Amino acid sequence: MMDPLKIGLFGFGFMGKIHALNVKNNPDAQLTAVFSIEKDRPDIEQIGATFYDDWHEMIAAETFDAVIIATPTFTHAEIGLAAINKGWHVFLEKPMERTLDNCQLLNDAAEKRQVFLGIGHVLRFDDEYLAIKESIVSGTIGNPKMVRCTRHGPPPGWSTWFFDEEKSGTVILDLTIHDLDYICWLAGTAPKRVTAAASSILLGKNNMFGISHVVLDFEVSNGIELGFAEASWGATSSYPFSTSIEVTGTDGMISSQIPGKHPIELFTENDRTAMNLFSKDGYANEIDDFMTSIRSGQQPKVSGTDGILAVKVCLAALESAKSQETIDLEGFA
Amino acid sequence: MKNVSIGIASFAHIHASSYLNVLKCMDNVNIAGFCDLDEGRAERIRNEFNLPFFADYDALARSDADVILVTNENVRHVDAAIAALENGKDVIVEKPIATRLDDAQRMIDVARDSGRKLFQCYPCRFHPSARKAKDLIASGDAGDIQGITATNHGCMPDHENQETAWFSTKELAGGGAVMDHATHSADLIFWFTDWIPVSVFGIAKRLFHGDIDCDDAGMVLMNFENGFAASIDPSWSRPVSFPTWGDLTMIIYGTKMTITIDMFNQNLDVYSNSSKKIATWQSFGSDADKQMLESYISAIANDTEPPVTGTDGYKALKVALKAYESNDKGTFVIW
Repeated sequence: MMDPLKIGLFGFGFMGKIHALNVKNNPDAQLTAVFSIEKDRPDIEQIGATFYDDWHEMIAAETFDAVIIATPTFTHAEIGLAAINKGWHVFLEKPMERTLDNCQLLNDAAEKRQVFLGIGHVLRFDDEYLAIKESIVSGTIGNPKMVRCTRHGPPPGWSTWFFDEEKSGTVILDLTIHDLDYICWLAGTAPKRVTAAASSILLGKNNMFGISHVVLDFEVSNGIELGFAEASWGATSSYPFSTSIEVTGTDGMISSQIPGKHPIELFTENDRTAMNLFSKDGYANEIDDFMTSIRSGQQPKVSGTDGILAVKVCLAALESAKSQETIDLEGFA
Repeated sequence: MKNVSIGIASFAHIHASSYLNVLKCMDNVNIAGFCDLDEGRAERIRNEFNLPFFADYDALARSDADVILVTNENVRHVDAAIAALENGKDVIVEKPIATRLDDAQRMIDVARDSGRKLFQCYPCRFHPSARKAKDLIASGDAGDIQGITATNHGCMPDHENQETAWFSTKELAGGGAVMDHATHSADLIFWFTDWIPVSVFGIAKRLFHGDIDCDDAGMVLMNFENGFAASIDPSWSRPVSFPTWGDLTMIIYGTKMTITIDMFNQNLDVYSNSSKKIATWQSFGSDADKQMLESYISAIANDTEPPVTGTDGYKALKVALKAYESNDKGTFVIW
């Protein structure tokens, strides 16, 4: 019986906490250290990892097989490159990085050092979104031609870096990216043209794009030709986070939405909880995939190249929304 | 209420029959007759509804009707409407008002110059959900509106059926899904917000149906002077097996209220063996057509202004036409 993989976690915020739990639940992985600027020590003590509030120190002091980076987008390259330099595999939360240059740096470094880069495009690991792809592939709707996705809710309340465009890339790079990545995955190729329109709204103290509409125009004769994703932080706080997807082909349509169906729901006096008891969710699946990847020596399901394309499409959409021009993706840098 | 006599300029549009069924039940309305240039359809209507028949738009326009309901092929709205207006009739015209802005402008001008009323059909405005949203926005209860996401999905009208094939024939309809559906949503956006567009992006593709010469899928993006944006999905993306004809949805992002509209979602799930494993949705919701026609007939009887005008129709049509222009250009076009 091999020793479990030693995992270091950078970032213990919204996503960090989820990843910590999933590493803990993976029998082949052990969370040995956590970097967090938050003073949320009780949670970390429960996990039984060593806590650092200085990530340089953590990298210098510890030895990992792999790290998970769930710090804000604009810090991914800094921490990721340091980890790659140590020969550790790196799992990055989406988006891969704030700039294309940094995405490329990460990808090149990982390739050179021969370590894996996994990117947290979680929809590709979600039961429902996987089932949609499977159904399409099995021919239920004929030749798939058009995808429409929506994803909206109130602005994230747990952190303010989202509301700094320089750090987050606006709602487009942080939220719309989920569906744009998924659409490209369904299409099996990059779009030819990206066009977007977005509403500038007050988020935190800044006016920035918070409601986005993105059109992907694929130039293919066989397969998805048109993609659309609307993603927004424009809803009021009582609005439940909601997503939807519909794929129409020459022979039919598949659609799905969240809030969706749950086999079991619990209603206490104060809370309602919907449970997905019998299968793992996308977050657990993507961590499992990454661990398996390390053991098997096979590329993770979602790698650096995928991460780069997703960021490229989002930054093109951001540019399109600002300039009110369609962006040709090939020429975009 | 004063009696109103109405003539119907053709049954080409599938709404003509549903409008007729509403009008027949109105106490102060009498149907003067109809015209229809399609012999087969004219015969069918004569048999089904037993209405006086007129040879063409001019003959109908010279009848003793007070108002002509124009529900013929989109590209011919202008001919039927102007014939009616010039003969002293008020006109209720189905959307889109026309297929060209200059035709729409001519209709508006002739109506004004002849002192007649010109009504544009946008029944969605009369649905209780739209009226409620309008009230909440107008009163400030919803706060400032910052974005709108709209859909008006549909199934393609039957191209095999000779009577409805014109819907998916560019020469007669002026376009496909974008022309057919983008205008409903555009009209609602203008009605709710008074926003002024600066640029429009449109994509109009033929994706699902091989045998038509127009678009059956599309997307419209709009940028406005105030820095806000909206999208409209007008696609005929519902397959033949879909339980109903389509939808009209909106997400309206207000600073105090997020309003979601799903206008035709009050449906029963009906599983009938006679339709062999295809579940269907049976609507039990409000009849927007009825509300709209009652409002228009009342305006005619009481000599008040049309609540939805030719100018409203012109603006909504412009959105569709700008979308097509953008599709040809490959990027946004200036409003």
